[in-house]
Amino acid sequence: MAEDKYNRKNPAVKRILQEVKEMQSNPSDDFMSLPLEENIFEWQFAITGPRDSEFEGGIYHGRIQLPAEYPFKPPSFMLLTPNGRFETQTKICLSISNHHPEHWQPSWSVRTALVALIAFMPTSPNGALGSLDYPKEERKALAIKSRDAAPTFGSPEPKAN
Amino acid sequence: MQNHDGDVVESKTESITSIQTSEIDDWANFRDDDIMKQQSAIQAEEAVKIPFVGDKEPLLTLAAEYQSGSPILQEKIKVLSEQYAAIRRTRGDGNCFFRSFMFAYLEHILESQDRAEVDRIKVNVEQCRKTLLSLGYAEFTFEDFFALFLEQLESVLSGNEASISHEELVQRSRDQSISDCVVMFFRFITSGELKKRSEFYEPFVQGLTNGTVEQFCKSSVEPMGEESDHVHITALSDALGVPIRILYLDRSCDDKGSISVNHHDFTPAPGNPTNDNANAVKPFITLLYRPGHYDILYPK
Repeated sequence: MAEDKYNRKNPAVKRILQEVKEMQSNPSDDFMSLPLEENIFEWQFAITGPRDSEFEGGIYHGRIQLPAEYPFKPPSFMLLTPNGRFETQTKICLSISNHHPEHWQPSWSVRTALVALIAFMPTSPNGALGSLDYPKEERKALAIKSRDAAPTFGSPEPKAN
Repeated sequence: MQNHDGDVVESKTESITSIQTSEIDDWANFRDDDIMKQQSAIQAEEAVKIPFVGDKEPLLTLAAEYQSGSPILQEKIKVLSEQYAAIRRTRGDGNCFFRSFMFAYLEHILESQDRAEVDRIKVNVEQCRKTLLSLGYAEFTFEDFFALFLEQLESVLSGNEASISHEELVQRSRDQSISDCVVMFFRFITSGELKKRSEFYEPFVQGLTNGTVEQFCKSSVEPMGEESDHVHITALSDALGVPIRILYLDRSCDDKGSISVNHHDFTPAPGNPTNDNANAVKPFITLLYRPGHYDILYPK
């Protein structure tokens, strides 16, 4: 990883490098996530659909952007794999989970946010922006389809949202 | 959510309903980005008014502030000025208690060069680290904040390479990358203490929010910018073994109408490693509380 170009005294950089290390040394069956080599503020992830739900068996890819003020400000999440629960290419509104942005706290991490995101998938969207309420059958079909081809990740440059 | 809110609204009169429903729609459209934009706008507004930690000012400036205000407050400031010489204001960004405590504590060490106190607090800080680990916090989420506080503590002791002057301490306290991290350190300490002794703190917390200690820490302790109450102060004082005196400048007066300035000493409860003698220690941190805000006070 190109760690040298970052100021290791910067609190965000220090923290992110710690999280990378922790993520690598404690792998989970439910998700994988690592930053791009060119930019440690831009991560990619893959989560598996929660068991005993219509997402079971699915593998969903997405992007995470960490703000310069991380961990004081929350990361933002976006799914790339069609899943029937969240719109793709759209920032997921975490206000509706327990992770309200104004209550974001540094004791949370990419790991805890991903765990929350997985737990959040089978919940009812209640009309929240960026949420989808596809029928179970369609979600199941998307879960099967998700294994065929991982979405290609276009450009390493963070796009405007 | 919306349905639930709608039910509440419907129980009110027709004309109010239409106004309130439209307000609720507006709120529902607030997305994370908007909320955070609004938050940083408020922060920027506050930042223009005052640095995180201001300059030391004579208490007269406080009197000037209330010149055309409440006579009770004017009288209380007079009483206050018999014992206190100066005030140092902190930014009203919801972190003012922790920020005041940070500066007052480090300034005390810098001026007293009390190495015994530094050794003592380090024992408690180490205890707090263990507490957080035993509560299930991932070490990487708090270790940087701990390291940064300990670094500040070393630097206010003279005679080592990293030693800093009073002026540098002021500068660091105004440097967001240091100041906010130390505030966060205190928030972790406070949260750990509350959770460790949740049975003791539960009734106090319930008096404030009607929720559990766990919920309170999540919504009112660990997020930056959440204001502190007496529960935070008690927990921080207990955890670190540091007594804190708070003077209350409000409009209250006793039955006979005589004016005095109430104060409360937060004395560390026994239980943490070095707290046993804390009763004997006179508070060296004095803060002024005005409803909603804490500043630092300097005795004569």
